[in-house]
Amino acid sequence: MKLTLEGVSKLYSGKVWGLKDFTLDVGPGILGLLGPNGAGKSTLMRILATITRPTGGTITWKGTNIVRSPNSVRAVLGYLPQDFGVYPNLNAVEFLEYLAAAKGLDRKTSRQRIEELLAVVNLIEARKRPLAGYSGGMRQRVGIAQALLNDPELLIVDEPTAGLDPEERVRFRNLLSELSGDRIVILSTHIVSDVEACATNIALIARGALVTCAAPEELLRSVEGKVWERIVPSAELPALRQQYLTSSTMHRSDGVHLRIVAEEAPGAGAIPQPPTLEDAYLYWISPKKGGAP
Amino acid sequence: MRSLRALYHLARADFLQRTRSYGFLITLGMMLYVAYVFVPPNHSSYSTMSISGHRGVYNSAYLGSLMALLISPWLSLAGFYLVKNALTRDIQTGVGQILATTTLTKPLYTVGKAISNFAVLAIMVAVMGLVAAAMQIIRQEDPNIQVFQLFAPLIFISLPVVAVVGSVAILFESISWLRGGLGNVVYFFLWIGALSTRLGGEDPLRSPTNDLFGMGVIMPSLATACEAAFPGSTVGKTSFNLGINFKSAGEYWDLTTFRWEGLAWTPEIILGRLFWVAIGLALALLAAVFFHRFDPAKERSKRSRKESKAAAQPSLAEDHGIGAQVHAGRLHPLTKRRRFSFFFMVWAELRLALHGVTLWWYLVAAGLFGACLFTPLFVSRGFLVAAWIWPLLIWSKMGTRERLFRTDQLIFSTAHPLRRQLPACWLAGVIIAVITGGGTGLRLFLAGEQLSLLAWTAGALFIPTMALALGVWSGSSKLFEVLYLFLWYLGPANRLGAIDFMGATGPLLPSQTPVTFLMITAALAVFAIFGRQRQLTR
Repeated sequence: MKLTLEGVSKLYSGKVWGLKDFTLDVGPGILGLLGPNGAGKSTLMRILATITRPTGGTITWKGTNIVRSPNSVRAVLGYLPQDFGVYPNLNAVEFLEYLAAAKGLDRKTSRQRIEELLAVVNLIEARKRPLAGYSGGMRQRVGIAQALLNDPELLIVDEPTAGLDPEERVRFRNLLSELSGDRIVILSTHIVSDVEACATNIALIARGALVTCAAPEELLRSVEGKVWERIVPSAELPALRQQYLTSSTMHRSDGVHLRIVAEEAPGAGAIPQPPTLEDAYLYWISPKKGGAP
Repeated sequence: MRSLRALYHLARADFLQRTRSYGFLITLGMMLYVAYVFVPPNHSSYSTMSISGHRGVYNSAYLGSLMALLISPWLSLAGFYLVKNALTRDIQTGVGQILATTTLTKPLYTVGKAISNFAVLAIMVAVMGLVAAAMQIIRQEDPNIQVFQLFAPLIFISLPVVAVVGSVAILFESISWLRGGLGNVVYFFLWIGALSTRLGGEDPLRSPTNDLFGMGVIMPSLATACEAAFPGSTVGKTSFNLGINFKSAGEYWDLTTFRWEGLAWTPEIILGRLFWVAIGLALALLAAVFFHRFDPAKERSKRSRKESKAAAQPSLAEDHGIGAQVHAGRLHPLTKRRRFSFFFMVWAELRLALHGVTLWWYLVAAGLFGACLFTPLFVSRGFLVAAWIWPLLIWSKMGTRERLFRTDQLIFSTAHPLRRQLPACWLAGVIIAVITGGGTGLRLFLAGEQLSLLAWTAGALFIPTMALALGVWSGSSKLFEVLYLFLWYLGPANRLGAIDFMGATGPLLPSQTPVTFLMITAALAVFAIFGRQRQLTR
């Protein structure tokens, strides 16, 4: 099972590149797609989900070009868009039954599957309630359920935890981890902790291009010895922020604790720190590495 | 002063949003063409205004008045549907939620939107005026362009009309049950009523009344000029034609002309027309009474209020609290081989189409079915006309739901959406047509009336296909609602055989009509498929 992207590009009207020469091989497991707002994550997700056609490049799923034959992947695809709607007068069961029919599930299978999914996304109690009355988080969970209806081999979820409360976020991450065994899951987000919790590989994307793709531990290794802490008076903060890549600041009684990502020690008194994925993300996304200025 | 500024910016933003679209440019282009068509040369196959075989010389006064009289009824129909989306857009885009948190008052909002509606329609009136000037030069019956006489009818007749229409549009949008398809239907019948009262109720040439469409203002003066040129021409039964009237094939209109130098626009006449502008303003202010200020709780139906109550109850997840056990339930793999069932898909589409339909709807539909089945055939045909307008708002959603409810990404990422979901949606529409009009269909089958049965079949296929094609391409239910209503009214309801797509005319139906509509159906089907294909490959 393999998804291959080769030189995938998307040029929008107005000569704006949504994606430029994007090349990546994706195998079973969870691929976390991280990048700042406007980096091209959703464009890539929509292209992979066959919603948007790329202007260049090829994407192959198990050897078949899905740009030319989108139905080859649609049959095994589960997709949760970043921004989607529901039919407000239908309840969750009716809405999922409708999509199950579109995904080719027979009535008996779909009924069982829907009950199971509603339990998984914790909507059993609310399943007969019209979707119009659902909160944003509840709608998002209906979205998650519909993405899993056909037991997809390729699951693409775009900002899936948006609107979920902390408990539901944990529940969803656990679900993804459980599902990831022998299928490809592509999880796009700008929340580093979501990726940290479950991704087996992380692709960093900025300005429509792939910056790097590596396992979380490799990314962490890449910034080992490059994360520092300095304690400075508040007055020095603006100048240091200008000078260095700062991943966090914390005001304490002894001054401001600055967490800095830099190749060399940022001045005297800087103490080396164990890196986090957030540090690695900032490091790779920084303009020096090709990220956003 | 601050209020005026707010009013200006509200109207301006809305106006710019509307006019900076291809749709608006296309509409303007169509207006240019329509204005050109309104001024036919002599010996043409159609005429647009005539009094007992005479018309005015194409001078500035006559052309300005001709445009005003012709465009006012049309703008009052098409214009209404064109601008009836100002409040809806603010709801859909979420801008309304932001506006609701400002100090903007409800009257200011509705008046601002009415002004924007007026401005959009006024541009079209201005285009008509410019084309009228161009047509005077092209037709060369009078080379002297008199700017005031050319534009005065458009200013004093058409602008008050669009002021009222713009305000009625915002009033309909403010009343929640008139905002959607039902409002479109209600307005259509209101318009038909208003127009037929004016044209049919009294002698349009002789009643100097200040009616909305301005006929009572202009027609008596025109009639006097015609009478002076052709004595006796407007006495007794006159044949007065307003609108595009075709002669039979091979025949042409050769209208004799008279000079008319225009109306003396007295202060009384102008004040009379300003009365309609005041009515428009009053309607815009009335809209503020019903305007919910973007509070969804205030506009919900009883059913929706129940939903709100249900939503207010905490869900299981919300009940849990932070200490609850956090783990995902088990999800079993699907072992059964998936095989797409078209029947299941059609059933799902049918359920979706009929979801939310009230018991009353079914009762009326059943009553119409019974009436079609158990009455004499000539009466049954009449009931068929009613039976096939009844599901209008169900058909009009076809092809639009995906965009309207933003489920397009979910549907279009399933396998073969063009081969599966689209035909299923279409078939669901056909099933609704077959069931609602089934009584007459059965009667025709039993009576062995082959042509009528063919027409009935053409109708059952044509209506949902038209709905689907227009829905897919326009993304809105409005276009189908308006065009279908118009076609339904002119064809089956008025027994105009050439466009009677369901065979309500009976034995007098031209035999080529069903065949023509079957061909149109096929073309619309291709159009729908092409439109959906375009959506899939954007």
